[in-house]
Amino acid sequence: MILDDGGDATLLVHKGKEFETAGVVPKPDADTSEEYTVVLETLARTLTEDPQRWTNVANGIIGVTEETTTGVHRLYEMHREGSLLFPAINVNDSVTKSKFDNKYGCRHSLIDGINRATDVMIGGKVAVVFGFGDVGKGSADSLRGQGARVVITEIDPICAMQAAMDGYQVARIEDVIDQADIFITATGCYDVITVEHMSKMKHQAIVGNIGHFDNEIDITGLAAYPGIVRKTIKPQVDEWTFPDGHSIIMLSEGRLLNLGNATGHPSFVMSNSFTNQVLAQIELFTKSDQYSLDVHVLPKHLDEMVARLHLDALGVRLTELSKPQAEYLGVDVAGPYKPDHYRY
Amino acid sequence: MSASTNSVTKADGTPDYKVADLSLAEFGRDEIRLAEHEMPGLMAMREQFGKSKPLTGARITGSLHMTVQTAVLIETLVELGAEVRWASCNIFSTQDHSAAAVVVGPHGTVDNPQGVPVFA
Repeated sequence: MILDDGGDATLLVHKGKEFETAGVVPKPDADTSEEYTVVLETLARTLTEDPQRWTNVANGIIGVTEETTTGVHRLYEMHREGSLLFPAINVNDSVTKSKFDNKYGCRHSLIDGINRATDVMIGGKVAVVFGFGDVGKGSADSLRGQGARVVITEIDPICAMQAAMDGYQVARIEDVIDQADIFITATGCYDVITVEHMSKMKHQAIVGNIGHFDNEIDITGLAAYPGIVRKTIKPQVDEWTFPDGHSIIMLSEGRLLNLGNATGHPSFVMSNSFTNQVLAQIELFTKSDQYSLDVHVLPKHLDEMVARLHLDALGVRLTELSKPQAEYLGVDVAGPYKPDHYRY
Repeated sequence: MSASTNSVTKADGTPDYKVADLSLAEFGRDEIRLAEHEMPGLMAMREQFGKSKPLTGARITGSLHMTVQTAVLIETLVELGAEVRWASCNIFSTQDHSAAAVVVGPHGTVDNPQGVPVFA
């Protein structure tokens, strides 16, 4: 079984089998990312060593449990295309994962990363958070909690309205590029901050990513900018100076700054995520006949159980439904309490 | 914790792991111990399934940030009977003391590591 984050191990197995079936591994070109180049090189090597290696590995895999929004997105894509090779459990969309880890975890670890990297005063500054999904919501809260004036960018009208109703200014990057002090991407998309944007930022603007991969920020374009000079201040903190003399401070080379500049999410919130992982692994392994070749989520009673296991430590006292009250609501006294479509 | 099926030594006697510095294991173990207290869900899994070991026979490969919190996850899977191997999924997220402690394991020593093969 695979326990995956971002779908990397799953991708390796799928591409390995795909290229073994084709009998050839494509050559990386100029547009191939550094990481995918490593994947292609690895698979080119294993193809000569053992042309059935990944086919055999794939055939032996019972399933994968996936941790992240991005990895889950890839799994659904593969399933739609019909290329998914084994069943998957989407751990990310357990409520006790994405509504906690992604949100409250980022609320904790975003400013932890910025503080350890720069120790800059956040209060009073203008901070832009790109994306107002679960990660963006936690990130915006994190910066606002320090007294920053937070601006949100969004493509989705629903998330944009949520941000506006929470009191955030919602703007485009062009509107605030010369006013903001901190830029944080939380989108899951690519080329969100371009080198063109960075060339127009204020002197010593801080740029970082807490979304998915480093391609949210155009690091390659930054490094290729004519006349740019990179000075490493300390590990994972780089000052990039443009020919006009202004510089930006890039955190963790555009990779996840909460993990690169700090130590990621704290234990308590990760206990929620990882308890879902353990339950998902047990489900797949002990009930593999019940999990078809599809992307599944854990049943709600397990989601509620994960939350329940964390309440005592916080001194929470749940109110219990009476039997008539439970009947009135049409639920069992012991749960689950919400229909599957409830969004929390 | 009972004897596990994990080994950090290959059949030819060479190390089956790659971490920065195994001597950081004690610091890692201390932080793992403190984290366990803050991870009641995972510790409840150990309590609930530590005897029945529903993952006995399961071979799990993980690709996820090698942090202190992930160490508690890995050792929970082992406690539930799984044979586990681990790689980090990000070049900057590995906490070297945590990686060392997982390789050494709760019952091993730096000279005789008995934990889980970690590549991070």
